[in-house]
Amino acid sequence: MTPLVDVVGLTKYYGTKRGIIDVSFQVAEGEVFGFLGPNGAGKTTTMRLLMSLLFPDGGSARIAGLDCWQRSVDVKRVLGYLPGELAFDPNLTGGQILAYFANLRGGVDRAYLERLVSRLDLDTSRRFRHYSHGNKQKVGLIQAFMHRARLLVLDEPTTGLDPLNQHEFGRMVAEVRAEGRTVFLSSHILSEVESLCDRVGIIRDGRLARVGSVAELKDIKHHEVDLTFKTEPPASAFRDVPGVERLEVLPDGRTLRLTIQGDLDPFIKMAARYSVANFVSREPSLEDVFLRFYQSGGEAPRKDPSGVVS
Amino acid sequence: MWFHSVFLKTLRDHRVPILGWGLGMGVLAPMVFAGVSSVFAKSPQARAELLALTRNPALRLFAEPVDVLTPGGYATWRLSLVLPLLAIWALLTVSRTLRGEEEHGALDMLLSVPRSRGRIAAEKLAAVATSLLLIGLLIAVAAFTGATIIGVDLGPGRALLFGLNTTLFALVFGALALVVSQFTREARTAAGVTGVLLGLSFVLTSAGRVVSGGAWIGQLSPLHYFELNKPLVANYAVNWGAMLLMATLASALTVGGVALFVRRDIAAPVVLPVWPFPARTPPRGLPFDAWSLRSVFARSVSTAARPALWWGVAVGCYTMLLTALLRQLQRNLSDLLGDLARSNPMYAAAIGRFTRGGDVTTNMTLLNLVFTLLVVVVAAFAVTTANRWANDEEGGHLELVLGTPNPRRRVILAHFGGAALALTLVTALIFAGAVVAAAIVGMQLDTGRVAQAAIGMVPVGLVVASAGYLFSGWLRTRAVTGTLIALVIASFLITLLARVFHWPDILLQLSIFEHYGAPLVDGLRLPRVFGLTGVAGAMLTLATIRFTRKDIDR
Repeated sequence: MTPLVDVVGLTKYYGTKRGIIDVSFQVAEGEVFGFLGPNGAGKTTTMRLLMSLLFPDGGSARIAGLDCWQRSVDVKRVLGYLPGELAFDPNLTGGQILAYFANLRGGVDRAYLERLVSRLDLDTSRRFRHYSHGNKQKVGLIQAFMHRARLLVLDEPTTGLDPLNQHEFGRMVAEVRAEGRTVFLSSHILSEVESLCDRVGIIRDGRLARVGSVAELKDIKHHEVDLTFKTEPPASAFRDVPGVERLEVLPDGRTLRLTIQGDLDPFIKMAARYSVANFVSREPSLEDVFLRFYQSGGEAPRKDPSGVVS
Repeated sequence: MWFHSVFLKTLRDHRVPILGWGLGMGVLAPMVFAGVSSVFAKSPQARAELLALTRNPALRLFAEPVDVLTPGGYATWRLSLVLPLLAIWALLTVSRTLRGEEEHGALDMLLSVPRSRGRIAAEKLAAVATSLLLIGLLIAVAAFTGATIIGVDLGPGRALLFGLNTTLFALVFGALALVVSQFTREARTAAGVTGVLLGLSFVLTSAGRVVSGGAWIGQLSPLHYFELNKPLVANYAVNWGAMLLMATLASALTVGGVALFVRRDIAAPVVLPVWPFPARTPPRGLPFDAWSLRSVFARSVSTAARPALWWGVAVGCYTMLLTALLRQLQRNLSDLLGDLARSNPMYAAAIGRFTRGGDVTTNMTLLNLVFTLLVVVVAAFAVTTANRWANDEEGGHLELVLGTPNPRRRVILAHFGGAALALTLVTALIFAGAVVAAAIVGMQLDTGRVAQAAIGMVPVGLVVASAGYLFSGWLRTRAVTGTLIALVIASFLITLLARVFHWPDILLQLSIFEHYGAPLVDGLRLPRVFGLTGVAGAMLTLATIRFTRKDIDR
């Protein structure tokens, strides 16, 4: 099946400065794809390239089978876009801006548009200059969603939204997915991506480091385990268990805290040889995964035997 | 070093304009010295021609000729309309410095540092004042150096006064822009209103010179006090009082502006206890059927219409005033010549032409001088339309529009279409101003020719605007505006000086105003109109090609 978004070897430099380098990924129709990365990693550059706001120095990008630059107008017929920094004529009201973009798109379902306005609780009679950051973001979101685009390209969509509206945005994305439409969003809020997205791409220093489902990405996941023994803990026995990266004896003198990468089975089998009083395992959030991923330079975390504290 | 204080940082921001305006304005006096010296040296006839030219009664509208057969006197007379244009930089810069930074939210961060609001404003304004003083110094150094090389009598003291006089005039309008910007939401509104006041000061000074018993009218204008000093004219007494008055006025306005600034909300205008215009209630709901929201072109027309209307009304009124002053000048002249006519009937017929305002040819010749200036104002309006386009791109306003299925070429052409209509509106109001004023004061005009002269201004504006659209393919907004202003001033100077100094014809052809010609006298020359329109079309095509292939800045 042809992917809705197909990016191959996309490269962009700003003069001599790096934008993105050799980025390749695909987004299938009907999925929600999250683009993760810290500030300056290249998320916005990738999105602006897809929107043909920037021209690439190399590579190609197609949306719905159409070249993003040669057929940019046709591409824009199938998508809705929320830029990372929203700017518009400050003298227009929110309602005027929405009406304008509805007209530029050749008309939209007015009832649906009014429903979106109501869901995000936007006062459309205020001028853009008087809106708070969050309300400006609502205008941007509504204009991106209002024509029921086949693909939504959203650059950090929840920036400035309060928790209630973030929740409402989550519901809107879920509805889009349920209707078989596609979302490509960027974020540095991992919990958001974790809850909204089917697949995630992690970009680092302009290069796409990993792409996979949220579950797949957790193959770089680790567990933090607190194992309390009835007697003095046998620390040395656990040091060489495959997957144990870090081992520490807690101040109570009976508990080992271990960081385990990958399969837990060898560790469980070793623990079963001893008399265990308590066992607590914490699965890390994607945020923890992400931070570890970046701290380790994008490589799988290495074993750190010197982490043993006695 | 440059980031140690608000003052130094602001001064650093002005380094390019200081050099650009300082050297650009500075080169003018030496250029005129060189030109006039060679012309005077060639023949007594050339001197006589110059003298005759300066005695053209209509030219008194623009400047008082004093000692024009000396290089210093001639330069003072010729540059009297050009040097005060430094005030444009001052008013644009001061408008952007506080109000402009508030608009973009940049001042919020600066005001979060532990320094008082008054101190931050004072440091910024002190930097603008220092920049103007440095520009004045460059003007003085250039004038002194040029005079020394060419052999014109100009000592360093008078050269410094020449620079200082220009600086003080610009400071007054910078300070005025500061006060005006306390009452506006946008920097460009403040700059526009102050620009109108600058234009008004030219009219008031002209009226002071022309209207009998109306010297007091001229005294209302800061330009009058600028003109009281003529440091380039040897032995012309320095009027310290005029300089002190300009300095005091600038200081008082600055103190008043800062006092208002520290007491009002940031990003909001001063709240007046009584506002004569009721606030417009923004439309509620989703106005899908509003005409201005139907397309990029409609939106562009709507955006351009308001400033065009303000400019048109202001320039139209300016045209009316100048036309009325011209008539007044004719009457003054006819009074003087009346005695001569009575003494010698031979002159009666010729002089009679002035007395009733009935000789259309003469009237059109006189009005042509006014239109020579008005076409420069239209070019200045075209600069603002190009500035708006560059600003839309730089401010990220195009990001959402280009996210819709509208090709880039449609977006740029629609914007330009709106600008072209705005230019047409401004020239239509100039036409109306001249015709209405002539009807009121009983001055007979060839309305068809006036219409042709107004229509002829549109291609001039289109060339300037399209050049701005082209430049914005590579340059930032400020650079686009600066470059266009420099080109307009250079063009104006070429038209002003090239014939007198017998500069090469090819140089004359570089001036856009030369191609405008004198349609009130010669009629509209279609080849010129088509030529200018063709140049505008070619530049717009290049601008469109560039825009469709460039990265969109944010």
